[in-house]
Amino acid sequence: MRNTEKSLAIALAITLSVFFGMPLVTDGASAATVPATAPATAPATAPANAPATVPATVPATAPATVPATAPATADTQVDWKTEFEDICSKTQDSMSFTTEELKSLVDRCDALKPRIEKLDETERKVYLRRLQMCRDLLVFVIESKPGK
Amino acid sequence: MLILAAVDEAHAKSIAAPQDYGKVIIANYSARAGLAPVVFNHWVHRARYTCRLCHVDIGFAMAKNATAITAAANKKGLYCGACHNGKRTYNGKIIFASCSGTTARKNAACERCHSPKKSTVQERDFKSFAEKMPRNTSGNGIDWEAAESSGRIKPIDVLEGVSIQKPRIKAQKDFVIESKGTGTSAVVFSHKKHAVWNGCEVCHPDIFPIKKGATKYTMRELEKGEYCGVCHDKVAFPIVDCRRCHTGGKI
Repeated sequence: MRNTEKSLAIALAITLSVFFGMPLVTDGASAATVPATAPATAPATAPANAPATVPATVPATAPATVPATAPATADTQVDWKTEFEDICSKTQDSMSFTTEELKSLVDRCDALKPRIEKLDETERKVYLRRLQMCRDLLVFVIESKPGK
Repeated sequence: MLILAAVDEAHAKSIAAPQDYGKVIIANYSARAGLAPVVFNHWVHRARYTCRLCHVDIGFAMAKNATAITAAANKKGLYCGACHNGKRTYNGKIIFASCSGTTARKNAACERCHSPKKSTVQERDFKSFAEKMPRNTSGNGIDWEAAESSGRIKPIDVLEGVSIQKPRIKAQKDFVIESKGTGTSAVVFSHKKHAVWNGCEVCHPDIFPIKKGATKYTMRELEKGEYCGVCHDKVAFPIVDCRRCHTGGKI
């Protein structure tokens, strides 16, 4: 009977471990390894509407040993540029978007601007101008829509 | 009369030697560094790259000296340094690095751009290049539009690591700009021809912040460097070449 209970407990522990990622042993050492492999800052800084490729590329470039508390400069760099490229790649097709879609892109430009303003002087100058040109075109297209 | 006066002034401006048409003297910080201003030749660059690539993706302003390029920025791979980094290639040849010197100033490398004297090599290069191109009677004597459409030049529009990958532009329809009250033929504006070089952002909304037909502009304004005059009369064919735009024959 006691053996049966023990077997059931082990089976339950294995099931929990497989399906929910719970550690089999809950001592301090093994628990500490879990956050070290998870990109703790990435979900917080990634834009809600970033393309699906972002999470795939971030862990590949981040070294596995980076502690969870390390400054996420590389990730931040990737994030603003990915967002910038995602928004501004749409200018070629801007005439085919609805006013709501265009306004959403303009809002994303406005949200991105403060992040670019944090870059160093020369990079800031170049990318703020590029972002402004992109935003201005989107606004121009909104205003050029029939009925405006 | 107004048109004639504008054209006369424009003609006076556009009689630069063919190799000098589109030349820009960049003199923001050179003197402070003890160097001659940079002599930038548009013809060399437009034979290889689109206007959009430099004026949108790399971020050069459309007005002379408005970009305020620094050696530090070039060294970081921005502005001229986006291509002139000693690594990027064109036709398999490494593009020389800009502002790569660390200590020695006024050396031969600097003078490739900070070139105070008239360059005979530049003239010879221009001549041999122009001989292979379709001819035009004004500007620098090259019909760039024909050169591109015939495939004699294939301007690059995407720079890896700098440009954003975009779908091919869907050019808007051509339209007619009526020449009201002047007796000249209307202008048939080709979005397609312009989009090849400029994409959307070069022209809209900075140069043309207008809804089609909502604003009138005159040859006088063009001659002052507004609207079409931002490019035409400076780098693109000059406005004295009336029939290139007023295609109906009445000038």
